[in-house]
Amino acid sequence: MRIRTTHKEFIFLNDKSVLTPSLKQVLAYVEECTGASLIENYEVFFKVKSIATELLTNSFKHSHAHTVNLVVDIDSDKLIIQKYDSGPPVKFGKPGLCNGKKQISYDIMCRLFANYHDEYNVSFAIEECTDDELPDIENLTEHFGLLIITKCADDFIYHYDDENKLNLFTAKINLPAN
Amino acid sequence: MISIETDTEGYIALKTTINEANLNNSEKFKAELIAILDQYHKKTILDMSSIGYMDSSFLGALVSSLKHAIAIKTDILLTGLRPDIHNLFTLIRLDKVFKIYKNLNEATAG
Repeated sequence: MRIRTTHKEFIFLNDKSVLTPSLKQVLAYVEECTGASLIENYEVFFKVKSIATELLTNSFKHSHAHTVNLVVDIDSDKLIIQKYDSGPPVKFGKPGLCNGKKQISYDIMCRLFANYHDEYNVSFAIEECTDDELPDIENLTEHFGLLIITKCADDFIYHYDDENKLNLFTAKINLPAN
Repeated sequence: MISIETDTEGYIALKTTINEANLNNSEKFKAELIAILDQYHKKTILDMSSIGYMDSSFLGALVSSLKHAIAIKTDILLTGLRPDIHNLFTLIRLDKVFKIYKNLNEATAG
């Protein structure tokens, strides 16, 4: 990929009606910074599109802040998308920890867990279901946002900045070598 | 948001008329689709080729509609998924939940 090391912060209205125009701005910027490489590298393009979509949707759905900030950092070997908005810390999954983790959601083959490193630092991980755990359609979740990001990102973490009262979600995508 | 293309004895063929399928219209879409399921009560084939952008809210609306279809003993088949949308289904294994076909001919043959 022909990468230009860059950093850019987008500030979008936290309003669901502007989701696609906001997403298009992010995609255009990433494409500009990587030349034609996103067309040549469909997998990276798909991951960026999916992660940015879900980070924005997450904010429109759950945050009551007026704006949502999306920061894109690109360098030679990775692309980082960070979303932050103001508000109280996010609680993932149901109350109660099991070995430091909580189940958040699942698809028909795997489960998404939030690993609580401490109260304000969480990483997300996926575990494959065993055959006897597979949910039937009736019990299938209808919430896929964090699952999509976790599956698309090489690393996906949440941090609550208590000093500034900010929720920060950071997704990292490893870029293929030249 | 949904147009009715064909109504036959065996199935009803629908087509989405939106390009952006997301939180902004997912609830309205679900209500429209469930109303059609309840009214026609037969196998429903949904052409989604108009959709270029889709988020998890819309996927949730589709899953919710499929649960409703199964509860009233019918089904929703999907056709015309663009590559990005098909890959999204594959990513979270919804390709194992929905019957997905290239087009109406394949769906009706299957």
